[in-house]
Amino acid sequence: MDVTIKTEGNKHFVTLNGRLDTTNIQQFTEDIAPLMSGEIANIEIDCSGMSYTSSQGLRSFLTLQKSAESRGGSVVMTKMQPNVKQVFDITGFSNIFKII
Amino acid sequence: MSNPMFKIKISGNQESLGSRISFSVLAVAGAIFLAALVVVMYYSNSFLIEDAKQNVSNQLTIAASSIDHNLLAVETAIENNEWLVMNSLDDEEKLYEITRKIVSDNEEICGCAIAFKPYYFQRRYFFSPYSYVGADSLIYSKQLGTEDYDYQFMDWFQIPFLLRKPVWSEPYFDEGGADVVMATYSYPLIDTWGDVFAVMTADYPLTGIVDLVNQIHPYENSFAFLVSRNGTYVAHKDTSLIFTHTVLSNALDQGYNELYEAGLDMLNSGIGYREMRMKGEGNKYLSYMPLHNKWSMAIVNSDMDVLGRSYIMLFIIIALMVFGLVLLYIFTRQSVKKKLQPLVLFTEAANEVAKGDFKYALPEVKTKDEMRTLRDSFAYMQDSIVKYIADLKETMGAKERIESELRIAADIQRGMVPSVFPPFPERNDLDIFAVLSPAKEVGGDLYDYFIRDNKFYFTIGDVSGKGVPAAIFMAIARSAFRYIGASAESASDLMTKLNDSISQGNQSNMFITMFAGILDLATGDIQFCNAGHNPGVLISPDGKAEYVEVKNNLVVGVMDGFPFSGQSMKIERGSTLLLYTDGVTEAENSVKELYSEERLQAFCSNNSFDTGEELIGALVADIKKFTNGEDQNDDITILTIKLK
Repeated sequence: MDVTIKTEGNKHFVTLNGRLDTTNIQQFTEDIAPLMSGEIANIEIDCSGMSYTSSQGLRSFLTLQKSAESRGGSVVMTKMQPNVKQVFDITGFSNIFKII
Repeated sequence: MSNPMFKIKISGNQESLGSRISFSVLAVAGAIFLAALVVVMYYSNSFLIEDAKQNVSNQLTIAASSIDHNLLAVETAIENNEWLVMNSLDDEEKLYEITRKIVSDNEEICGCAIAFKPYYFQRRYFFSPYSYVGADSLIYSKQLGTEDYDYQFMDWFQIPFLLRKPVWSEPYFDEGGADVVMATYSYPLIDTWGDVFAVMTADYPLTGIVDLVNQIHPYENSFAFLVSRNGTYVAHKDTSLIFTHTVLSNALDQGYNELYEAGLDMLNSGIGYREMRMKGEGNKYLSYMPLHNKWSMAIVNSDMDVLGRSYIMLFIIIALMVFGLVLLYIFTRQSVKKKLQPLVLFTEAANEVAKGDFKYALPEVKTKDEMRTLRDSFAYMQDSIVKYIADLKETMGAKERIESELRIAADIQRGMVPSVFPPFPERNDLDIFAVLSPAKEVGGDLYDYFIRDNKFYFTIGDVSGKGVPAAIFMAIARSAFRYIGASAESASDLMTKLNDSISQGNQSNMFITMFAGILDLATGDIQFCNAGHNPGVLISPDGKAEYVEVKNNLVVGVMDGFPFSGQSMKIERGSTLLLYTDGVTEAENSVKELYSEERLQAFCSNNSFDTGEELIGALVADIKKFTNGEDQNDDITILTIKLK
């Protein structure tokens, strides 16, 4: 899972590439740690390159969203692949994330 | 762990290290010695050659002046009597007297003549009074000219007569007299009108000069030779050359170009020093110098003679050098061996350490060098090993404790899900079977069920994550299901309360997907509520397998107060509801293919089993066959509910 973070204005733009599973969840958690603090709390995640997420991945997104909301921001996820979207749908995460 | 081979190998390497260093030193020292030797030899040879040149030149000068002195004595003897002859031109007896006197007064002169030109003396055709030393050493006199011996055509007469100046003849072999090599000095007598009227001569045996030349001997193989004005050998160690060869003809015969060049210069009364390359004899050095009568003498030195001392010196130096190098080798080798002595002790220490005696005493090193550094490093290594092993023992102990605790936790967790089958032996309308196989010792999957009011309450769930945190979360969820299930009115009510209970105070953002249902055992009606879990498979009595249409709602534990909505359906007797966690459908084989929902559905459709136990056993076997030995990376949980 490759994570790139660009910051423009008051927004973080995050690009994800690859599978997010048990083998790299630890690394992913470290990679997105910078997004969990600071004044900028608006985060847009480009999911077009993410081919899979495990339930632990969902938990990380949830933690990120709670952190952003506690700082008055929000998380927006874009360009999600159908099978990943399916996971979000099955678990009901589609109801609590903004996915466009 | 004694290993003698190891020891032998180490000491073998140490030997070769000493030798290698010694050889390196030897090679460098040898190269320096050789270079020095070459330089020394070069200069030494140059000096010796220069020295020899000087030495030979001196000897040559001394010999030449000695010979010149003899020749001058002869010339002077004649010239001193010229006035006497002039005053006795009419006195025949007197003239005989003069020749006798010259021979008797000058022992180096063995013959003397006064040869008049034809018809000059008293109108005689021949007149030449001549005195000479006979074989008996007495002096005889006679008139030289006869019809058989017309001296006016002889060189000794004709040449000075025509040149009007004194001349030394070419050397000749006096066969008639004393069988000696001789040369004749001819001196023209000139009258008041300027005409030559007679030639006075002195015969001079060259025996003395030849002896003198042959005695010149500056070096063992040196020799001198003398050539006449036209190059004919007069004296030479090779007597076969005398009178038979000239220096030029000899040079041409032998093919010595340098000798030919030198010969030309000698005929020209030159003084010189030349190096000549001789075939197979090494180099020779030729020094030459003219005599005052334009003869030339030379000394030949051979390379070996001149440089012989140098070669002896070379031999001595090389012998000393070899001796020195051998000493150097022995010294270096011993020295290196001594300096490396601690290595043997270190090797012993290393062997002891390897055997487990980590505190084995190290050899003392008093020098402050690399050996000391090695000792310090070695000591540091010993300390580190001792500490490391202590740490390791401690860590191993801690790990064993944790593993033991994990085993106990796994036992507790297994105890939290029903594991006795059939769970309701008194009921013959219900067949329940389940497996829970965690990927780790403890997992996050759960299932549970109970019967209340002839209704069968059941659930299956999967906590996000694995290990101890997931297991704790699972325990909370299972307890909540039992506690809330005891009073819940519907499946949606159960799930909503369960979610509220778990969400409150959930700091970890862990969550659990759950499927919960309530089966009315009398009617076959099922109320159910799905919280983000995989939909179950409903297998009809005719064997047809379909996924249950579910509303997904939301996973449990994420959002307090989320209103879960329930669903209902009715199943026929003989139907089986198979619930599972995603460890089943996401089981992976070696090429990263998933077992998949399609494969699960196909398995359920294509096989028919009488009991849940048989179904689950066959399904687990099919999954194992599919993954073909790959590690199980998620908990696998399957629950079957068959209404009979």
